[in-house]
Amino acid sequence: MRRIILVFIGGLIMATFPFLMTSYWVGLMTQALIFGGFAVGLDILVGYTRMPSLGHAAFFGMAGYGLAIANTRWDIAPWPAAVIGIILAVAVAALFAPLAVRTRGLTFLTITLAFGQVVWGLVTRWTSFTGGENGIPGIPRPEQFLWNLDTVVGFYYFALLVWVVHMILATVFAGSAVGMSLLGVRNSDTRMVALGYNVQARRSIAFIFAAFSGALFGALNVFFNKFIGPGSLSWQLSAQMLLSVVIGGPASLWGPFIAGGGLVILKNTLIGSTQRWPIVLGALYVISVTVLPNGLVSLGPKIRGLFARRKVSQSHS
Amino acid sequence: MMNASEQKTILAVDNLTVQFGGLTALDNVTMHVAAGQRFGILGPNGAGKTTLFNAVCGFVTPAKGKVALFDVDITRMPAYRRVSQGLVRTFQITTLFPELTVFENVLMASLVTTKRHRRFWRFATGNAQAVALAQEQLEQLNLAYLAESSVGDLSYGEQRLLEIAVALASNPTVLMLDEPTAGLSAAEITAVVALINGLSRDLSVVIIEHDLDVIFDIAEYLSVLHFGKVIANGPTAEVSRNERVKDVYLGEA
Repeated sequence: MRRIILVFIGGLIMATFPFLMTSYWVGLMTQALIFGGFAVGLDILVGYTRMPSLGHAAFFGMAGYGLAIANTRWDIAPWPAAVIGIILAVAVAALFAPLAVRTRGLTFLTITLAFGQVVWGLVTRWTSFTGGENGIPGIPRPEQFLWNLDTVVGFYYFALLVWVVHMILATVFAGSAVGMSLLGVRNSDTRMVALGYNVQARRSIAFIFAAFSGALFGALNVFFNKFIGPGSLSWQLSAQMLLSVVIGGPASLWGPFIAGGGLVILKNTLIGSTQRWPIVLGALYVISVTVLPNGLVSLGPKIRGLFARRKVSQSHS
Repeated sequence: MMNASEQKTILAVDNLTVQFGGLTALDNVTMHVAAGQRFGILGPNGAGKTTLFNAVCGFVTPAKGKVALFDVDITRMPAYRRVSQGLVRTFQITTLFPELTVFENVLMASLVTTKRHRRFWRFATGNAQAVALAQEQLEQLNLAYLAESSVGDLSYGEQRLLEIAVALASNPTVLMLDEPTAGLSAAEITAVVALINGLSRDLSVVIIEHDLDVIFDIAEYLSVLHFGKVIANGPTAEVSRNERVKDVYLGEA
């Protein structure tokens, strides 16, 4: 229960942001919610199950393209179009997961990367259907909702609502019998089999959950930008999300959210030197794994430890 | 003396052969475990004892032969499914989850036993039945005071006990113990033997052991493996007098 209350407290704090920030920053925070939320879902796969995927942006983009194509080519209203996009991405994940989860570690990393590149290649080449490199512009935000979504603040609150709902889902899932079994799977396959768990099925579930999170925030991202391009299913995005989990602290949910959102904010504030962004990202990664091998979430105990040590050294002097 | 009902075969292994490349690890092994029986498997290192466990529990695929539980052929059944059929094993090397608490280690098993292991919509500790079963199991083995400790903080002896507690939480009909006393002190061995001898007669126990005193204390029936073959089979007292067994395993004894 405490874990769920924490989500509401986080949501309430973020609900005050539009009163404190300029609309530029509110827009930036919306993006932070989108990518931070995606990182939370990926944590179920990468952190809890310890399966490093370099292809989950494919589901983020796939849901977005599904939404965009359904809406602009087939004239389906935004809400059902979003549902179609999310179902498409989750269905593809459910088909691909049983194959992918037969592999581990580097092989899994490679096979997910290859999968992501196939999707990316398809989307960039099939220009007549997907718009190719130009993407698909002009996707409207839904009109039927409790409040107007076509303002910066209105959309921010919508993104926050989606984030809170998803964060509760992820928190309950991670703490459930299934979530606990994922921690078991990451430790020892044989042990889990001996306890009566279908290990491959568990890995698939983690894979699909992360894909669902990607799809959910992928659709949200399209409504935010009113546009989708192939960048949203690039391997660079997958890598950025993977690094968010590692930098934030695997299997902590909050760490990946803070790192995932933080990286988006950092990227946008360093926009003047965009071309150096990969260098910044790489440097951050190196620093975090050397200084904080357990991620940002270990910062708290670490600081406390520092003070404790200082006290000890004072008592010695 | 055993009566007729006790002699009903629960686990039947017939002509089981396992090959690793050119090596025949198990050669035509037959072994019948009766209801409630304490069945010992003896043999020098490399005799194929653990391979036998692996084949019976589904961790390696046999080249030939049959494994049946309650007269149901389970030779091709996935290993994880055999657990809910009542076939539960432990490992020679401790394979507990070091990142989880003692309680969570047992809970992982009791969630399956109570069929709560697919619930993703509530916290694991919210499944009252599974929690109760895990606590009961810890209390039964006098490990309850360690419930919230991390497995990494336990002594080796405590870890071996916990390993058995976890297996019991899976509610076995046939409990297969792979060297449960390996690496323990004399006092700890006594405790484990007492624990095994105190188990309900509703369950059959198959035990691999190196320690002869332990196996003579526990097993009523013995199979002796040598280079993958069964060289002797029968009530413990009888087998221990067998000349061939004395030769290959007991030395001069």
